Amino acid sequence: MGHSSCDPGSRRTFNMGCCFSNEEDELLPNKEPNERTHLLHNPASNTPNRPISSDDFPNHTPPGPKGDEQSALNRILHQTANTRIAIVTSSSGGRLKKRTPLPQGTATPQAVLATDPISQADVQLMNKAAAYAASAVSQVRVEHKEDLVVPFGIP
Amino acid sequence: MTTSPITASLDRVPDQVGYLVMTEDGAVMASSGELENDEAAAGVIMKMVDVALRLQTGTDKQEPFKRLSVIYDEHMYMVTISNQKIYVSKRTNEHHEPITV
Repeated sequence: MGHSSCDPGSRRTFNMGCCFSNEEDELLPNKEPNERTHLLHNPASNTPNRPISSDDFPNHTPPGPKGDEQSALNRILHQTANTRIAIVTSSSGGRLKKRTPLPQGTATPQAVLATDPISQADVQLMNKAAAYAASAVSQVRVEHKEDLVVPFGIP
Repeated sequence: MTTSPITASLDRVPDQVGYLVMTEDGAVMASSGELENDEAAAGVIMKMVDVALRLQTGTDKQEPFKRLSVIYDEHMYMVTISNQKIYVSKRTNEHHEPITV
């Protein structure tokens, strides 16, 4: 029960409510809920002018804070579930999408692999064509001619 | 390593220095010679096959390509698909005069 976070000096009389009345986290309102977040924002042990007895804790939890606790728990649960599901879908779904299913292919792979390679002349032709294409692409320039945004007959 | 009739006939490919047989998900089923247990080459070839399958070079969707050739000066890789498996043969390149561009 997080006794290490208790401040025995200031909370001497409220030892039982210590874990619920620690106000340090409430100074940081933007913190995401986690296992250290207080689910009860205004617990009974914090109410001034009210004697605290150990009987108060198990039985007399006010209905409002109880609902808050429930919704906070649900929020944490959903958040955890969402992150877990997101990780699973992104890793497996992405992989499945990537792979293209293989076609039936040839009946005699050994024959296809054993035939002569494409001729050297064809390889040179492809290299030449690729070099021409690369040089053509490298010379493509954007030339500014007219405005990209043209107003249509707006009076 | 299983010796099926197809892998036995792969051994008879001329000028071959090694072969690979992969499943659809890239797992090596059989391998020999310079490609024996070459997972790295298998992974690279798998990606090349995946890219080649996406290119629409013809109208036949059943057979987007018959053979994928990766040709270097000294050697070459021949890749084909049969029965949902990928067959790779590494062969020496006889005509290894430098390719001029």
